[in-house]
Amino acid sequence: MEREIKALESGRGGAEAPARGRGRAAPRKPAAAVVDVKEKLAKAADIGMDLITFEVMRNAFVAACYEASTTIERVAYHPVVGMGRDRSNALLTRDGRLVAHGFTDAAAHYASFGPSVRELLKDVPLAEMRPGDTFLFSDPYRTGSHVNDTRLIRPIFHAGEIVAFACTVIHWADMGGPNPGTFNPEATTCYAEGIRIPPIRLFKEDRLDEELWSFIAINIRGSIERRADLQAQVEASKLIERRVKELCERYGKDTLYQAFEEQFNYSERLMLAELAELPDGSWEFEDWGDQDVNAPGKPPIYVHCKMTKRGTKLAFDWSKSGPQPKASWGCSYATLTGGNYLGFMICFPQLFPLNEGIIRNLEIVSKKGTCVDVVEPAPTTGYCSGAFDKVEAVTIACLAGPLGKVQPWRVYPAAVSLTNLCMGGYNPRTKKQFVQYTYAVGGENARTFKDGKSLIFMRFCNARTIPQELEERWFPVVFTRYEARRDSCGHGMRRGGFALVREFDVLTDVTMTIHGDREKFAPFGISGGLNAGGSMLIVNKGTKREMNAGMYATGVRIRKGDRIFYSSAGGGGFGNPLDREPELVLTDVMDEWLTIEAAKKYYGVVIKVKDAEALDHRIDRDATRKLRAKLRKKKFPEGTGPHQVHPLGKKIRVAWVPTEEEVAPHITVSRPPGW
Amino acid sequence: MDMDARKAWVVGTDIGGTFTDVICVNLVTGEQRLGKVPSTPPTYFDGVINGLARAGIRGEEVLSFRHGATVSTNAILERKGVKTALVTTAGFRDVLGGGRAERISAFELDWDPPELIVPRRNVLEVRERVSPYGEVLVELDEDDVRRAARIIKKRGIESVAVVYMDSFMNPAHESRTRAILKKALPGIDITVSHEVLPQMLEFERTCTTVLNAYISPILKNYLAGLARRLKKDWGYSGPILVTTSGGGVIGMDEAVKFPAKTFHSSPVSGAVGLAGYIGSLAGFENVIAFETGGTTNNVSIIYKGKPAITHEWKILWNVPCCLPSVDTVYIGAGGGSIGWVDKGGILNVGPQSMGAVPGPACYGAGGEEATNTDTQIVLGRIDPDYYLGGEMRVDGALSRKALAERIGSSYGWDAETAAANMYMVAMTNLMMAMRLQTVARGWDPRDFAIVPYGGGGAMYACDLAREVGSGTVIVPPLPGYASAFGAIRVDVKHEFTTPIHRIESELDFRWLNRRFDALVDKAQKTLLKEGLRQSEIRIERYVDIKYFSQSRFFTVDAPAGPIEDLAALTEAFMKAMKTAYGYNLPPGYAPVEIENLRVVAMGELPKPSLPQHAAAGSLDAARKGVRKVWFRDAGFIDTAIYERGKLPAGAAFDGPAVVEQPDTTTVMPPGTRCTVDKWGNLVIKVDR
Repeated sequence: MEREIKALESGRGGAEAPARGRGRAAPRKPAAAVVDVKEKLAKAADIGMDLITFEVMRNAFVAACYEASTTIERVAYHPVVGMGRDRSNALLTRDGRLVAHGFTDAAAHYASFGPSVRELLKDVPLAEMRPGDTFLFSDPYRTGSHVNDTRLIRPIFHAGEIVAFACTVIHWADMGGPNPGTFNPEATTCYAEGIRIPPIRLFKEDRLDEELWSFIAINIRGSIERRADLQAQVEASKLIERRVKELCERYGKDTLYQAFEEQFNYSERLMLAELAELPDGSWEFEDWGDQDVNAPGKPPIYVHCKMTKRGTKLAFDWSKSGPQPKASWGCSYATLTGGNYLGFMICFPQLFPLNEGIIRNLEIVSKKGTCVDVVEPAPTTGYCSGAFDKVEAVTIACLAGPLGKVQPWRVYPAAVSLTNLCMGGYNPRTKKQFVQYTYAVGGENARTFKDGKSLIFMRFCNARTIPQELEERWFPVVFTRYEARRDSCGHGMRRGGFALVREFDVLTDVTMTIHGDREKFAPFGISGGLNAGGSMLIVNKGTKREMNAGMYATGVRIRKGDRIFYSSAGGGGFGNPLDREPELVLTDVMDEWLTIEAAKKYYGVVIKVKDAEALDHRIDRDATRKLRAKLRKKKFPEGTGPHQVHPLGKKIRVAWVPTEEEVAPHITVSRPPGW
Repeated sequence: MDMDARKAWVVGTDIGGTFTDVICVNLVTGEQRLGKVPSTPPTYFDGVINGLARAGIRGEEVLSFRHGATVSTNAILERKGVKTALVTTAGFRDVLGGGRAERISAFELDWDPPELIVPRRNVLEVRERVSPYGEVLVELDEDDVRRAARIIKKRGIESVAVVYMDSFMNPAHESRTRAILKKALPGIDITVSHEVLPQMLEFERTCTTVLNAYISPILKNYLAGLARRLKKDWGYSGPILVTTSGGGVIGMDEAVKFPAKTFHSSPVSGAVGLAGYIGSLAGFENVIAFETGGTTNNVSIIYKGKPAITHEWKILWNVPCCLPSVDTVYIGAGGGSIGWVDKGGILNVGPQSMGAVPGPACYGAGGEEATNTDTQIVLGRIDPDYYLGGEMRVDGALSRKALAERIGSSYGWDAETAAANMYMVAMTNLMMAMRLQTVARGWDPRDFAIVPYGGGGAMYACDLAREVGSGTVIVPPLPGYASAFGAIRVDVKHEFTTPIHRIESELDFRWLNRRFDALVDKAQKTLLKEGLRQSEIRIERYVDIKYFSQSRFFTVDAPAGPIEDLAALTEAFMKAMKTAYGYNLPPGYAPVEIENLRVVAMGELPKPSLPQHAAAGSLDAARKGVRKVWFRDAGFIDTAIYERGKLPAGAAFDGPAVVEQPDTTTVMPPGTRCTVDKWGNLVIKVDR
C-alpha cells in the first residue's frame, strides 16, 4: 500500500486543479534513460502484485466500462446515444485519476473524466458524500468538451469507504438555448449555449431530487426523453459500482488500489518503452479553422503546436495558437489535453486504455485566452469540429516527425471532422416538438502502406451511424442518398477515404443549424499527398432555389419539401498521386470512387472505357506516361484548400514506405477477451 | 412407441474441418453406433458416406436424417462463395460498404474491416423508392432493372441480392425486380430482402441478404449432391433435415432458400442438443455450453431449457447475419493459442494460434512457440504418451523448452512456473468470456452447470466453474461427437416476422390481427410441408414493442386470441423493460409502438436418449495409476489417473484426479467430487 499512500501525499492528480503546462510540478518520475527502461523490461516486469490477479483486474476494469456502455446503448432513449453511441464510461481512483474507459466510447470524452471528478471533489469533499449520492456536472470550463456532454459521477462505496468513482457521459440532445440541439455557431458567450450545470447532487442516496431535476427540465427541450437518457447513465454508473464492489469483495480494497497503481505503472512502462525507440528532436505543425463567424473578414483561426521529445520525455506546447475566437469554435484546457491525448493514442494504439500512467507522462502547455484554452464566458459547443479536431490532427502531425523515422506506419494525414447537424420543429406524426441531431461520417486519412477507409467514423469516436430507416421513422425526413462523394478523397500515392453524401427531403418546416468546419481548410495531406475534399451543406442543390448554407449555418428556416445535401470531408492523402500504381487508379475508376476525369487530372492516368457494363476498362499506357511527365513538371498547386498540396504537410517525410505485410504484426485490437 | 425397430434409426452427421462425425441411435432398442472419419474436402459428402459405412447403418433402416453443414460458414470465412451482385435503391449504393462506420477498437487506424462480399462495382442501382410507411414515392424504373440484368450477365455474376430501402413495408418493387431478373437471367439465384429479413435497419438487412445470396448456389449444390449420394450409395430417400444457427433443424427446401440460416450451426447444435440435454439429465435447466477446439473457445447459454438467442449475430466483424441465432461468444484461446510477453512485461495468450500445422511445440513439427497444449503437458495434465489415445507422438521435452525459452526467460521462471502462469492467463481469458455471457447479461453463474465439450474444455471446466461461481461441471460421455449428437436432439424450428411500425393512434386492430393470422398460417404451412403432423406443431406468438423512437424493442408474449387493445401488451412491455433495465418508463411517457409481429414455430421430433451406461467393472479397475499434476493453490501433487471407458455407473471419487479418454481429458482439482451417472456423464461438484 506504500505506493498508493505516496501517490496521494504527493498530490499527484489529487483534488487540486490539474497543474497547467509549465506551472506543473517537476515530473514526478525521473525520466528514465533508454538503458534503464530496457533493463526494467528485461526483468520480471516489476509488477508489484500477483501477475494473474493483476491480469484479472485490469481486464475487469475495461470490461466494466464497456458493459456500462452497452447498458447505456440499450437503455438510452435518443438515437444518437442508443444507436449512435455518443456516450462514454470510465472508472477513476478515489482522487480522480483515470483508470480505464470503454473501447467503443467517444475519445472526446476521455480527457474530461479526470478533471470532472477532481473538480467535483473541490466542491464536495469525499467526507461529505454518502452511498447512493450521484452528481450531475456539465461545465465546459471545468469538465472539458461542451454542455451537451453531461457527466454523471457516482462515488463507489465499499465497507463505508469511497474506493473509486464511476463517471458516465452522454451527449444530451438538447441543453436549451436559442437553437434546437443547443449548437449555436453564432453564440458570443456560453449564455447563448444552453445551461451549464455545476456539480449537483441530483440523486441523494439513490433518490432523484425532483426539484433539482424540474429546474433542469424546464430549461431544455425534450426533457422527458432526457429523463430516460439520465436513467441510462444511472444504470451504467451503478453497473460499474457493482463490478468494482465485486472485485473488492473478492480481492479486498487494498488489492484494488494496488491494481490501479499497477495499471498506471504498466501503461507507463509500455509508453516509455515506445518513446525510448523514437529519435529526439523538436517538431512543429499548424492547422486552421475556416472562420470566426462572428468576426467576418478576420483571418481564420490558427492552431499551432511545438512538440519536443527528449529521451522518454514528451512535451507539447500550444501557446503560439491564435486568440480565442468570438464565435463557438475554441475549447477549454481540459479539452485541449483530450485532443492531445487522442492524437497520442492514435499513434500508440497498443497503449489502450488511456489512463493516468500515460497522462502523467505527457506535458501539455498552453496560453490562456487562445483558441485552444478559452476562458469563460467563451462559447464552446462547437469545440469538437473546431479546436478539438485540429488539436488531434496537429498532435498526430507532430508525432509523425519522430515516428516517420522508425515506425512509418504510424504517420497519418488529417481525416474527416465532425459536422453536427441539428434540426428542430413540430413532428406531425407524434404531434410533438422534436430535435434531430445527426452527423455524417466520412473519409479516414490515407495510411503510408494502404489507402484510407471510406465512410468511417471520425477518429475521435468509435461510434456508429444511425440507420436512415430509423431516422426517417422518428423524424419528418425521407432520405434520398447515402453514398460516397466521388473524387472527394485526398489524392495520393496512397489516397484518403471518401466523403459521404447524405441527402434528404424535409417533410415539415424546421429550423436547422449546422456546426462543422473543414470546408475551406480541408483535411490535409502529407508527403506530397493532396488535401481531401471539404465538407458541404447545400439546400435545394441543382435547383433555382439552391443555397450554400456552409458549415456555420445557424437557425436557418427550412421549408417543407426542401432537399438538404449534406456531405462530410474526405481523408488526406499520402505521397505524390503521380506515384500511384496505375492499376490501383483503374480499380478506383472501375469501382466508381473516381471519375475518369479525376484519374487524369490528379493521377495522370488515361483510361479508355470499351464497355463499362462489362467492366472493360483499359489504361492507355502511352498517354499515361506522357501525361504524368507533363503533370510532374507542372506540379500540383500548393495551399490549404481542397485537393491542394499542403505546404507544411509535404515536409513530413517517412524513412521508408512500409508494406502491408510489414505492418500487419503491429496492428493491435484492444478489447478484453471474448468481447 | 409403436415403431418397427428395423426402420427406427435417427442419424446425426456433422462435418468438421478435420473429421466428419456420424452418430446413429435406434429409437426402439436404444442402440447407439458411431463413425468418425476424416473429412473429404471439397466433396464433403464422401466423408458422410464413409462415416455412415463405418457406423454400419443402411439408408433403408433410417427414420430421420439430420445434417450439420459447416459448408456455409466456411464459404464466408474462406471467401469461397460465388460472384454476387447487389441490386439496390439508387442513391444508397454504399449502405453495404459503409456498414455502421465503426472500428473494431478505439484508436487503431491501421486495422481494416473484412473485405466486402460484394465490391462497390457490383452494387447496381435502380431508381425506385417506397416511403417508411409503404407508399410508393418513386415508381420502379424497369429499364434500370433490365440494365442491371445486362450487367450481371456480362460480368458473369452467379447470384443476386435485391435490397430496396423500406421494402419490408411494401415489397412490390422487390418482387417485380425479381420477376424481371428471373426472366432475363435463367438459372441465377435471386435473394430478395423482404423474404430473408423483413425488418427495419437497412445495413443489417442488406448484409444478411447478401450473405444469403453469396452462398446460395453453393449450399444448394452441396445439399443436392448429398441427397443424390445418400440415395444412390446408401439407399436413403427420406427427408434431410439441416441444422440451423437458431438451434433447430429445417427442411432441405427451406435451407436451400435461406442458406443464411445455417451459419455456425455446428457449435450451436452441440450447445442446444447436447449441452442443454446433458444439463437437464442432471437436473439443470441452466447450462453454460463450453466448447474448446484447436483455435477457439465457444461459449453459449441455455436458460430455463431454452438457448439464449440473438438477432444481431455477426459472422465476422461488421458482417451481421440478423436471423435468429444462438448467442455464442468466440474467443481465440484454443489448444494451439500462443503465449507471449508484451513490452510492458505482461503475459498474454492468443489470439494468435499455431493451428494444427506446425501446431504446438510438442508436435515437433517446427512450431517453437509455447501453446496451451504445451502448458497442459508440462503441468502433467496431458500424458504425452496418451495423446489422442496414444495415436499421436508428442514430445514433452519440446514443450518444456518452448515454455522456458519463450515465456520463462522474461521472468526468470522455469518451464513449470511459466506453464502455470500461462495456464492461469488462458483461464482468465475464458473466465472473461464466460462472465460476458452470464453476469454481463444479468444471469448468475451460480444457477448454471458448465457442460464442456470438444477436445480441451474439460481441462479448464472445473477451475472455470470455481472462478465464475458455478458449482457443477458435467462432462458428457462423447464430447467429441457433440454437434452430431446435438443434431438428433433438436426440433424443427422456424421464426417468421412481419413489420408493423405503427404507434397506438395509427393501429387498426383488425388489420393487425389479420397480419398475425397470416403469419401463423405461413408458419403452419411451412411445417406441414416439412412432413410434420398438426399435433406435433407448436406455435408461439410474440410482439416486438417499444416506445416511439426508443432505440430497441422488447419481444413480449402475445396474449392468446385476437389483440383488441394494447393494455396487456403494454403491461408485458413494462415488465420486460423493468427486468432488462431495472426501471421502466411509465405508460404515457411516449406513444407505444408495435415494431414487428413474430412467430416461432416448432415441430416436435422424436428424440433419442443417451444409452444407459454399462455398469460393469469397478473404480479400481479404471484406475491407471498416479502421476504428478499441477493445480492452482496446490502446485504439483500426486494425482490419480482414471480411464473413462472403464468407469462404472455410480462410481464416485474425489479430486485431485485426471480422467483420460481418447478424445478429451478431464482435470479435477482438489475440492471436487465426481459421480458417474447412469448415462456415463461425469457429474463433478466443485467446492467454492
